[in-house]
Amino acid sequence: MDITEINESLIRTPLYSAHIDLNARITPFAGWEMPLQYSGILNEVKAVREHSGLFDVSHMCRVRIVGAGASDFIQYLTSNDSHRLTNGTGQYSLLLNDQGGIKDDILQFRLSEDEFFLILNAGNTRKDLDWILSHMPASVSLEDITRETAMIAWQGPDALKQCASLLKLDYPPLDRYQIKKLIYKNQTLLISRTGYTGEDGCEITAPADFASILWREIMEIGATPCGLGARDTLRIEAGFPLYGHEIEEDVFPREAGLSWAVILDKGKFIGSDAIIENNREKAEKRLIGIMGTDKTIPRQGYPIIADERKVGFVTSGTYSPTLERGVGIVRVNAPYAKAGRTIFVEIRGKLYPVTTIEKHKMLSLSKGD
Amino acid sequence: MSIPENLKYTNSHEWLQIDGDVATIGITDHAQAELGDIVYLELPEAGRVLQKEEVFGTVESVKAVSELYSPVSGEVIETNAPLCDATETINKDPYNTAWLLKVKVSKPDELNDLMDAKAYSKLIEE
Repeated sequence: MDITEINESLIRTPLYSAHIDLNARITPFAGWEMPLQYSGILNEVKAVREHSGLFDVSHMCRVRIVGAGASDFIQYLTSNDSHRLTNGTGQYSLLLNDQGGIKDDILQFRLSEDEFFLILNAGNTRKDLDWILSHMPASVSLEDITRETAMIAWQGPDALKQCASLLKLDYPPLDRYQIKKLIYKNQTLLISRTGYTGEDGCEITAPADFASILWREIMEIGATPCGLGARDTLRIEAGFPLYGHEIEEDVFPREAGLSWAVILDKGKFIGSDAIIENNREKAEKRLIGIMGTDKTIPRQGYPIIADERKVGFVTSGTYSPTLERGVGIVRVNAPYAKAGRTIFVEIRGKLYPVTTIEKHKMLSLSKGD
Repeated sequence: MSIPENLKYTNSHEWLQIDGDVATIGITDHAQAELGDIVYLELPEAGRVLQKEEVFGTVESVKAVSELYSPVSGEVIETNAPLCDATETINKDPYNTAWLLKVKVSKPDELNDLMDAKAYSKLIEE
């Protein structure tokens, strides 16, 4: 059948059979066969917000950058200041193109002076690797460990306690953005206190043939399996950008609220000249969060209307199980990107009022702030 | 997957129960399962006259939007408006409590175009 043929070109993560055993609904994503949902998005989001959830994020590209010039290369390649990192710490950063637009957003960890660990978006893997290799000096080498490992995100208010208990670590096992190599059951794990849900938690890179065992143990200690559907809903609620939605090659970091990850005073890096040039002009577009007044759901691409004209569009939208209403992130003309205004989303020809809110503050509403 | 024998079906995954000249319409078990947790429903007002295959409403899950198509022409005589505030019912009981609307069929010949349970079962297996 056709379906089999299509699937043959897709890559399966080392956890694929675990997902099938759990009756996950599988979806193609960035060339991979990934779990979209298990018990249902509402249940999975609730688990992460209230207890803990685990996600297979093995599709994300993981590379080691190794060699005497690694530290200076990362400093030139990416926008954040990697020279501020000490061994065993990491940061959010951006790959910029020569025009200062965002090629990808990444996590970069310094394991040692000569070894960095990068996590790239699955959908940008080929593009990013070509870009990195085209700038890489001879003193540095790149090792793509994506296929020989699995990566599990373990997120939620209970996640770190459960993690410390399972891996026999002190609590908390790590500081934020810290990364540790540790041996568990004779396997080398790489664990960082990072995530993409707005909850505390960690992400663990493990050898591919150990992934199913670890996954099972994490489930048994109380984490709920969560798919990409819940992951996307959680990140929108938390106001986090996603490549292809909030950020793209033709979007400048400050238009996406990401200037904090662009450290111009660290010296020249790829895209820095263009950013300095662009900063002389006013940003025309900005991102801001929106919250609906009822269950009407903004979706990507829907027009944003204010003062009786189109002033932007929705970059990401979802029903928020946590806030029990539609929420989203919108790109609008800069004057409209201020919190506390009423603007309108056009949904199927009708205008629905929504309130603008700093995108990282949407979740705090559910916590009574 | 539940596909009751006594109902008629469309290839856009609506079901109809025919009682004289009144058709009760909903979405199938297959449709609710494909959508996942349903969180939003928009229905027409009673009195609206629908043409066959006209969009009469919208159903949304957390991640998906799906339009609802009228399987027959006729006037909407009643809608299940309380369902809009209890959309999870569509996931739990798509064929009974989660009916969407009742239409007074104006072109009975159109009913001949609908699928029976056997044909619909074959459609969703493909």
